[in-house]
Amino acid sequence: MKNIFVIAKNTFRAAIRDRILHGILVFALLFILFTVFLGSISLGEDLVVIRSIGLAGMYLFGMIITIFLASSLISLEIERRTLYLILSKPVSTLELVLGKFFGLFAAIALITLCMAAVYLGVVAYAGGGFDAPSLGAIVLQIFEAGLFVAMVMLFSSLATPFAAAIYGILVLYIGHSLSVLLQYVQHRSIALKAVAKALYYIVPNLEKFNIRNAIVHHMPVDVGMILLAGLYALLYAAVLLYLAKQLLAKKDL
Amino acid sequence: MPRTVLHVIIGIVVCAGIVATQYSFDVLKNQQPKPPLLLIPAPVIRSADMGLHSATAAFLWVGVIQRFATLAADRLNGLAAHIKTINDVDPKFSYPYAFAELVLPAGDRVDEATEIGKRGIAVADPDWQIPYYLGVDYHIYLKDRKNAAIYMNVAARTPGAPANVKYVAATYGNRQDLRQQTRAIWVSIYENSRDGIVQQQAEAQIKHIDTLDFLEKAAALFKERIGRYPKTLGELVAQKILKAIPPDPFGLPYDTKGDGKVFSKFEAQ
Repeated sequence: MKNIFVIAKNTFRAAIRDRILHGILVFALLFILFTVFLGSISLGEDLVVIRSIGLAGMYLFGMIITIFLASSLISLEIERRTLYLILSKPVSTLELVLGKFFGLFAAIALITLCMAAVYLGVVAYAGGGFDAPSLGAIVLQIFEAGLFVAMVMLFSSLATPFAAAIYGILVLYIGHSLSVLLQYVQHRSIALKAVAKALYYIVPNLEKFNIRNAIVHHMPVDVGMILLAGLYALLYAAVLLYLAKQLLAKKDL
Repeated sequence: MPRTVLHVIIGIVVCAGIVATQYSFDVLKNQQPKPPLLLIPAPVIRSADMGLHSATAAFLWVGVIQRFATLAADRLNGLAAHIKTINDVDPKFSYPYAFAELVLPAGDRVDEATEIGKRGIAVADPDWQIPYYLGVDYHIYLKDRKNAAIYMNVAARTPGAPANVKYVAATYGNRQDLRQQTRAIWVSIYENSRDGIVQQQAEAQIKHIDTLDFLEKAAALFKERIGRYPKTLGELVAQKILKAIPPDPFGLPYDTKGDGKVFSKFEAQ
């Protein structure tokens, strides 16, 4: 446990000190502030525009930062040979993977909360008060980020940072399109429906973490659904981290 | 127990947990009301899309179509507003205009359909479907033959108009039987459209007209046997001319006034 904590702390520090990350974060915060202007040209729909684009912006920049940080997490360590130093100590591969995961997850959660603070400030400034329902969307975004970090870490164990980033983007897109795919094959052959159904359960279904539309339209969100989404992220991330650990252990370093 | 076996068992349990969680989530989700599709004003979209208006409009169009694909009447609420937004983002994107003209009248939104259609003719890329479907709306829903003929001729003169559309436009108003005129229009739409939803709509209309013809032939047969036309369609079944009254594709009841003619809500009188 101590090893996991030490690795996590160092990973967290390295992540939040990254200058490119600072640049992306500043741009993300400027984008959220820009929604005030967009709200002013929205023909009376300013709060709807600010909330919808603000939440979407937080999500997109959050995913960009996640892909940027997670895609090089393992592969750069292998390339720079720093991984040998760590593994030469009494640190197991599992402790390494978990430490990296928790460190990066904590960094991304912190960045998400920074963006959330600016977003809540913008909504309050625009006359929307404290946007408590958005907290549900932010919590789900953090859950999704956790699953996504594990996914991109797995890719990072297999491929170069660039390839891991591309794979991550593809999974992100597919993960949000699975319901549409299922709907599309409703009137197709049984074989195609079976394949689509299998993909629906195998590929991480990321749309469950998206309640932004419901939030913007002031619709209630079932707490049970948020808890199920959290459980899903936990279980799926566990599988992905286990696979990452197995791949790293078998790698000829 | 060997470690590998334990790992495999744990792996299976965790994967089963993932599937069970997803399944439970879907069950809960289906019990929740679905939020409406977000309608962001067009000026906001145009200012934020970095000049990629046509790509943004196309992207919005895909989202709208996914949402409104079933075309149930309650789902048509908001479709006109979404299509207007897409048209404002990219006024030259022609297909949403044509789609609105075909779909909105089914939900008693003919006025919105014609308004969208007229705007499309004025600003969109030349597309024979826009004036043609506008002509269809005038013919079927507004019973305005004059404007129907005008817009069908506009469609026939639009580059790319198929031969059967030109034929329908040329013979429009010449046919004595308006029902067959309407059928010819729907056949041309069915044959020329690549859109599954539009083809579905056209097919239902053709089947509706064919069923009316079929019931009138049955009524004529009834008269040959009994010496009068049936006062109700139930008499056709009672006299064993038909086993049952065929269902209408739109779920509307058929009726007769005892004169051998059969009608329903969409009959072009």
